[in-house]
Amino acid sequence: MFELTADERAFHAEVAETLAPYVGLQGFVLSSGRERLDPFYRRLAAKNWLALSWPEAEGGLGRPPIYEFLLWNEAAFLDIARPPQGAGVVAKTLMRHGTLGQKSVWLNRIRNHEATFALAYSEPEAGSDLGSARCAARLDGDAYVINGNKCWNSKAAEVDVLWLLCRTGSAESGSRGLSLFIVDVNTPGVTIRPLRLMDGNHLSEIFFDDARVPVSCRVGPENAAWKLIGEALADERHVHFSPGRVRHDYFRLRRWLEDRGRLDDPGARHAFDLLAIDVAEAEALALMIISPTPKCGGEIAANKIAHVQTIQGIARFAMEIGGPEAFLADSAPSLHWAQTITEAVGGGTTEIMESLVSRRRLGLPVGR
Amino acid sequence: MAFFDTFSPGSSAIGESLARHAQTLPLDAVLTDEIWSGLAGQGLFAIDDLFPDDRNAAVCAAMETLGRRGLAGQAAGAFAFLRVASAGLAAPVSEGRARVSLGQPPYMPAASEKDIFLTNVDGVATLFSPTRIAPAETLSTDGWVRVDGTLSAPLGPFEPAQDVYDLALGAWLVGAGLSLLDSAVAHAQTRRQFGQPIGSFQAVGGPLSRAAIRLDAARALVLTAGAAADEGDTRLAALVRHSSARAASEAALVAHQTFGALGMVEQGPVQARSKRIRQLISQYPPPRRIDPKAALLPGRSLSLIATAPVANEAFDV
Repeated sequence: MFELTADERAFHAEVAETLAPYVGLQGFVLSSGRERLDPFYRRLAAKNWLALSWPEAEGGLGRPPIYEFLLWNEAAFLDIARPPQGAGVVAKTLMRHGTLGQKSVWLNRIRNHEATFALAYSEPEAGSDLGSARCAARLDGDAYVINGNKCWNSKAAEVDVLWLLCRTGSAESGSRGLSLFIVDVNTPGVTIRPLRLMDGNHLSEIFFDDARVPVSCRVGPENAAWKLIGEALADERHVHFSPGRVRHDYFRLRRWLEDRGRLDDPGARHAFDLLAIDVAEAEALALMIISPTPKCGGEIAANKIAHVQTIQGIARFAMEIGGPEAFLADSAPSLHWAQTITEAVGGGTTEIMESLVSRRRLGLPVGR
Repeated sequence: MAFFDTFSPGSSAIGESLARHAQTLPLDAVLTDEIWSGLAGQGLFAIDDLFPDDRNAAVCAAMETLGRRGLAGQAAGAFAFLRVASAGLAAPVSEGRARVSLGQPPYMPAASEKDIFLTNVDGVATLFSPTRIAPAETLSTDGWVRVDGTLSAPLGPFEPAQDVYDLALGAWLVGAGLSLLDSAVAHAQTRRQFGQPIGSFQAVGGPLSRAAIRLDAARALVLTAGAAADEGDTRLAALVRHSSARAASEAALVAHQTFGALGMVEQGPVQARSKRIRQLISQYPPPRRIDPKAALLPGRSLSLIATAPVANEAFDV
């Protein structure tokens, strides 16, 4: 069980006030767009909210994770922006495993939104199975030489720095032969091409052709990336797939349908009303993640599945009863429908998430 | 409002003591007068008096416990009655001398002349006086009756009765669903086909996982709704009924399928509880329509854990 404290409620109110000028900024369906989002991130940086949960010794505010949840859940509900990866996965890994030099170079720049990061993990032949990544970093004097390519990476085409997963072990080393690197996108030999998606957003392909990266840009020990990545995912579990997004979609599309008289029919209204059950269930599963109750380890996956299926169900229903106007390319139903298709793949496919629930929640044997 | 995913220590106490008692009863036992009075002897129908501060949470804890043993789902009707009955009318029920049959004549859950028959007439909880009671078999092994008779005393608005009924039945369904899930998972871990446990096949594990997700969410909603009702906010009760019904129904179907032919056998591990789940889901009083703006609570996000500080104008909620 948990409940917000008076201080957390006060913070929630401050969040609402701070975020008010930015409602609808992201438009969900066009989450790319650095020019639009940067002013918002800078506003948060001015309050040091990109470093809400960082230790004070690292320049942060030292707040518990619930503060980050309150901030990014509200940003999701108000359709403003998602948490930047630099301030989350990257900074928290650097604080734990980075060198003094890496921390001094990056942490202040990240929390001030002066340096932006994208994760570069997936490859054409290594999507869900990151342990089979091939993009290789070979030590050559005081630098690693990187060759290979990455694919399906969010935001890579519009950030300053890549958080790159590379093979430094043998081809057969699997997850035990991977290392993490910080790579400036302007490094010679790095080419990034956007891949336009069905929802108007972009992923990227990244090509490395003898790109030289100083040894000082390796984060943590060589071949130790698997552990670092796992820790970082756990760090960020409370800010991804926020229930605020689910609630946003439900009320946004409800209003869209109501404004056009599409819920005047009692049957249609009843069916849409019933989707509130899914919204409440998705919210309950999300809140389990931040509740202090002991965890089985499958909560994050369960939340992601329920979150995605609910927003897909809402969008699908709006398409079904929205009439011809729903088909228009920039209508809320069609934009939501296309965007929610992509949510079931990004951040771990539904199939991978179900496997996690099978193993961790139910204790079923690992299968294929 | 707080968010709950476990029972509070107070409400879990009744669940634990009932669990010990329920271990002495056969799984999926038919609800006899003896079982009913035995449950009353455990304080089941005195919860409102024994737990004045968290009576709804205690009802949920008790009913989840009974659901896990697959029995006494009809007790939900007694909680409904106790919320609208005077002290004098309530005494025989809370003391275990009379059962409560909540339904819509002419078909109602099993009861006899000494018992209480309760129905809902245009939103008013109303007693029914049978002049003739004949047994009727139903899908579940619980006996029912066909009654002729007349409406008698109105007891007051039915809504408080329906609120606790929805919570109690929701908790029972979650318990029953979880117990079927547990047994299906145990079967999937040990039953081998093609040289390996069937649970290692994704086509088996996937449906079990989806059922678990639904049940875990439904359980959290039951717990949260029960605690909220103890603070005077019953807006989640109607939604809980739908959520738990869907979760239990899905769990029952998955259990049938996971057990294969064994899941169809009359003396098998699934069918009795599955039938009882199916019947209780559809039993009178029917689930209420959901008003999303009430069920999801007006305001911003985080409705389950916090009162919104600022009204949201973006989506008119």
